[in-house]
Amino acid sequence: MLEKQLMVKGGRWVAEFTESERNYKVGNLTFDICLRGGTRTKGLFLSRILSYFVLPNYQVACYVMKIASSNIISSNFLRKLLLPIREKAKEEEVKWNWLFLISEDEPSAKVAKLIEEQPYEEVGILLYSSRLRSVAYSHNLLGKRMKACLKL
Amino acid sequence: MTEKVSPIRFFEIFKLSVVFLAVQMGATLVMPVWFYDIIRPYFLFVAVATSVLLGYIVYIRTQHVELSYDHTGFSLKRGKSVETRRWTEFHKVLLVRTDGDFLVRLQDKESVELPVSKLKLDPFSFRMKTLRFVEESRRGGS
Repeated sequence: MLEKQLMVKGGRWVAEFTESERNYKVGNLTFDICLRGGTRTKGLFLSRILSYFVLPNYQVACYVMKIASSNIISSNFLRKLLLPIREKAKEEEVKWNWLFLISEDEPSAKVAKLIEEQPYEEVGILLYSSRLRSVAYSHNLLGKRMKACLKL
Repeated sequence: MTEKVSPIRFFEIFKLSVVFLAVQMGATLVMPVWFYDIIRPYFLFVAVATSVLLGYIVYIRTQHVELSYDHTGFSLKRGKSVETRRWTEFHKVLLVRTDGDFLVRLQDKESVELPVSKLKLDPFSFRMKTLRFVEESRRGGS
């Protein structure tokens, strides 16, 4: 569902995700899904011209990981996930990155605050609670934009 | 059990037919008037019929896609060319979106693309199916 949202539906307002891979390995970590793409939208003649002149040409990536419970999220846990993502981004010149964490339970206020206040500008973090269909997100540009565009 | 998917894309036949019809319409401009006078009563009917027929023949020979697959491998037929591969030949399965079409890209040293949108399959579920085939065949092979 999330993959479809990102590739075909709301995600297209944020970036054009053109490639999706399951069980994607970054360092020692395995993400359930990795989506890659760019910020230049494709379309008919006029949309292409407009996106060529107006939109920046950034590479983007979105990593999705299912976690057993939101209680395992700590600053250390986030650092462990974000470090390889940021290294990979630097290596492959990926300017915008998102990390989607999916859990069944609702995150505690402490976990939600931890996600909201994550310090990196180039990574947007979203924690989706599948039972309650609620999203906690980082309050940086990428997190806010992605949250606004997806209908989960 | 082998599954076979080969939908006919009527819109492609329609597009080719329009091209052939336009060519026949254009041909009337250069044909002698006495000849045009003879064929005029039947021209539209004959032109439409031959355009559809030619469109269908060209479509089948060049653009029609047929995929047959089972748990060991697949056979992809595009027009007259046929490509038969085994799932063990690949280790990576990607879902790729091009201008409006979805493809399942199978990668190893070389890559093969299965045009899922042209086959009118659901790209997300077919990718999962392909991934399962690839993982199972590699597990069985190793």
